[in-house]
Amino acid sequence: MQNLSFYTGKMTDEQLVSRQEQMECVERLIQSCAVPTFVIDSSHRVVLWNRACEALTGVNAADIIGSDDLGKVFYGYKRPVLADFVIDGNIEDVGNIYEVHAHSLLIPDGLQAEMWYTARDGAERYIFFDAAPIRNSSGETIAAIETLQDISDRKRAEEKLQRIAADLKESNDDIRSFAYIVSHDLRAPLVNLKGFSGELELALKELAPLFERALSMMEREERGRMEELFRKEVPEALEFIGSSVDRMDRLINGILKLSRLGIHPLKQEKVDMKSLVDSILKSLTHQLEKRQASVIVGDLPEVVADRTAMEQILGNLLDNAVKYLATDRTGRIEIEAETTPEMNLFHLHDNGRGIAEADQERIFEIFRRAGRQDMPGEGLGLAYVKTLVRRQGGRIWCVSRQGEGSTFSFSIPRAPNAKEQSAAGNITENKGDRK
Amino acid sequence: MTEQPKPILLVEDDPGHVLLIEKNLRRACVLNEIIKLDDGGKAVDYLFSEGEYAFADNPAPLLILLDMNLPVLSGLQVLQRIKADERTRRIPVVMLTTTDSPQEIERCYDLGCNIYIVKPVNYVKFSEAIRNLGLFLSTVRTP
Repeated sequence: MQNLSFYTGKMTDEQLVSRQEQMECVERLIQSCAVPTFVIDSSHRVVLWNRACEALTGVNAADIIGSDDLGKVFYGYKRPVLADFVIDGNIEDVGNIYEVHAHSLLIPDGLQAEMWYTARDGAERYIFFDAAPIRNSSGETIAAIETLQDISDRKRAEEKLQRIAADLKESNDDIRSFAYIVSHDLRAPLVNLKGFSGELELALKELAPLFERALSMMEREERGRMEELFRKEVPEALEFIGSSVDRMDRLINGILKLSRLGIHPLKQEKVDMKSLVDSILKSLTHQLEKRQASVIVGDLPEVVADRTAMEQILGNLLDNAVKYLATDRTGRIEIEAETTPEMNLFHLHDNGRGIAEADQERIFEIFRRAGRQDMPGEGLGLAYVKTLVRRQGGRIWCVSRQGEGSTFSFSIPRAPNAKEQSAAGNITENKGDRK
Repeated sequence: MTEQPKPILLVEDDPGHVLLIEKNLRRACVLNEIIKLDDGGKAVDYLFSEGEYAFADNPAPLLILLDMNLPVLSGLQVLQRIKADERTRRIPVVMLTTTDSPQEIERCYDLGCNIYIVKPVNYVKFSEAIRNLGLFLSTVRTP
């Protein structure tokens, strides 16, 4: 305790005793603190080394109190610690030792730094150092206090997150280029399939008169089989090939369209959702009248988003709502919005045929179509919508009861571009702030 | 005119597509010789008398039908060479591709391609496109 000798000047005995008591109190306070803490005096000598500091560093207070070579005890070689910079006031040189550092936001002339530190037991720890000057009443720095916080777990989690974000970005890029390449390359053989089945059809046409002549020369039973092959089976096979190729082509175009969505850059602009919905509804007038459906549009906010994407999202959802209205009751579609601190939420209610619970997740997958297959479609619309919503940092889901109706809801962030910034980007930014 | 009609250069690595294109050109009464090459490198060699065509005196083609995805040199790379060279830049180039990616089309036109044809799976349309090309060619050739 006698080590804490910052206070000089003449005092009465009582003053000295009371001062002594205060000092012990401060010492005990620091001793009991769960944060590893030490204090050095103006000649860089360690005057206080608390128990948490002993536990973190593996260095006992008894072995270090009075030493002015803290760096060596800490790191095994002579170097200043953060508190030494505070004592010397040369805080501009901190960068030579600590790559990640900053001025304290709370304490004037305080310093913060962080780095990997190898303790005596060999354990690697990422430490957040915080050092601040202790001044006497005339403003002179008489000591410096430094705390050491083990933020290894946070750091490791951050690094892991960074890695995961990078991996994720890479695999997203892979999927995108994969889808593009696949659809690009898959079309080439289709051109051949379709082209050559066309050639076969032409050949059949050319063959027809020859065939007629040949038929007349055949035996009766042979002729029957020949006619069946030539007039029915071969054209039928060609037709199946043709329609399958067409379908395959539509599916591949679907994949291609989805993969292109990922490449197309989004443009953020103010979009008045009310007028956007109104113009979509205008284009659906004919279908709505045919189904005798009414549409109620609630108060819709202005959002900052990609206009084309929003048009496609709502266009697809409304088109679906009209398409799958129930035939046994008057159709009713309602669009409303809700605003949370982070998101604009949109809900589209309909009293249509609804979706079975088991299908409610799958309907957003590419090529999946739920329920009765009595409407034209390739199962692309909702996959497309989901991609568009997600690219803008939002989410889409559906709540439905079969036979009663569905509610499709999606969110669009109020602060645009939240999603476009990767998690990795954010971490780097934080690090930058601290420097 | 006794002059030999100029050939058409078809650069395409899918033999099926080569045959289909040829059949449709013939059906459209295009009688010009069709020189078929299956990679981009050969196309450049042919046009600029390089590599295996170093000593050949190849006639300049009337038209180049150029696929986008080619081995050795891509269609775009070949197009770039053609349009950058004084000897070849006036030869009309028709790009053939399987996709209608707007970016791809834009790149082609930026590089100076004259026509961009998406190989349609729809056979009728494909034939029409090739035939129109044939008709266009015969119109050009007829005095």
